[in-house]
Amino acid sequence: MKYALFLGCTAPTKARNYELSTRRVAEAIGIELIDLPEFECCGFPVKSVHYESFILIAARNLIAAEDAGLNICVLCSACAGTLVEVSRYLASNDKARQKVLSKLGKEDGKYGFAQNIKVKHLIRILHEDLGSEKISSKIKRKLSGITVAPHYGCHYLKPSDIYDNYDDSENPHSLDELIEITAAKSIDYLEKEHCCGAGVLAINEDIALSIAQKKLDSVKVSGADAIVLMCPFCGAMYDENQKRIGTKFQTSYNLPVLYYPQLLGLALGINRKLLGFNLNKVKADSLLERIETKSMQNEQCKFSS
Amino acid sequence: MQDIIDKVSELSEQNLYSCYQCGKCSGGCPSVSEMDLLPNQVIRLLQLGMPDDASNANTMWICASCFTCTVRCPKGVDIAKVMEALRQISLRKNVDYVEVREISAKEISILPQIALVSNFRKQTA
Ligand code: SF4
Ligand code: SF4
Repeated sequence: MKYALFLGCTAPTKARNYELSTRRVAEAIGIELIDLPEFECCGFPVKSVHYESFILIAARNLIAAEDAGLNICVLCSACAGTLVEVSRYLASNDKARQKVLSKLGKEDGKYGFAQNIKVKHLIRILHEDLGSEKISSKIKRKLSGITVAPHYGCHYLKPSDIYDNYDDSENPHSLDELIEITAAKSIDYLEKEHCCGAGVLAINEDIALSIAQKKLDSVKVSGADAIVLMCPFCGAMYDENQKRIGTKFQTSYNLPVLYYPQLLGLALGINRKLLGFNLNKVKADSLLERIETKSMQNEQCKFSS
Repeated sequence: MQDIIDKVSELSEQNLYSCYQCGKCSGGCPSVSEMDLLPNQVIRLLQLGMPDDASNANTMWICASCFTCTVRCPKGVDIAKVMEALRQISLRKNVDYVEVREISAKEISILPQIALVSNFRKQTA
């Protein structure tokens, strides 16, 4: 299984733990991730400013993948939304496609966009292309006893029509299922489908932080040991800004925020240093120690019996 | 006025008149408590030919582009796209914008990437 890895701007700058753990996990479960030097910004930031440029930037990335003959694996949910939307738009709209291709100096007829390549979020690839059976067979350490709150964010499943109604945007389950493969418990909590607020950050920080605070409160009440998510924007809101939100609302959360490949990596028996846990802003040390002590005890049990 | 409304319809590719004001979009909106006007009220003002009132509200800027309204609308109106269209029209006017070149290296190093990205999306004219 081979994909071109699309990092986007936020994962390699602000969420390197996400990138690192993704690369390690992919290696361990047999997904080959190829870096294409042509990949750049997905186009999302200029969508409101200049729609044609938005299409053009996204198209450039899609063309690079098509030239390499690879489907794309995306880490950031906003990049995934952008590349999926544009690849479908250009596949079905002849006029727009011809215009974009001529601007980029490419001949028409050679590129089919969504007709030729698939763009998928990493989580969807794990859930849909690899599947739970294959991943389960690679699990070395069960994370039983750990409870986590899954955060889906918005652009992973919405707008649902561009994703062919994959999963269920109103009652999603793919991430829950992936979490349960590790034997950790995935819990339901109030406002599970709620947005992280990142999209408002530049406009009004107070509002953005208060949107994120609502969910942190719900997760805290739920008693989960950690939040598990899959988008660097959401990670920045809940991990990077968690302390600020706590100070602002006179509380403290101390809630580790794990990217899903970090959680899966632990279950695959990958050393925590390789999974980038030192880059998590809210330290997950006590959670990791619990997991490690438990797996040591299990080893001893096996040994003595 | 009508030309602005036509522009919103054109940019968003939505038929604004198919909204029957059920309010479901506003019911699920995560930013609604901070908005001057509810998302469905913005649509209503457009239907009534009052685009200025719709654009003067903070609603389109506070919209997080989460698409909850879009997937829930029983009439298939993509409200997030309507918000996007309103932002596009407003940004063309260069009323308020960030001069990217003037952001210092220090500021860039401490600003979260997402703030820069949403800045590009919403405040760069
Ligand atoms: S959900 Fe759709 S029909 Fe209902 S008020 Fe909102 S836009 Fe109108
Ligand atoms: S896309 Fe905007 S208007 Fe619609 S629910 Fe989300 S924040 Fe509210």
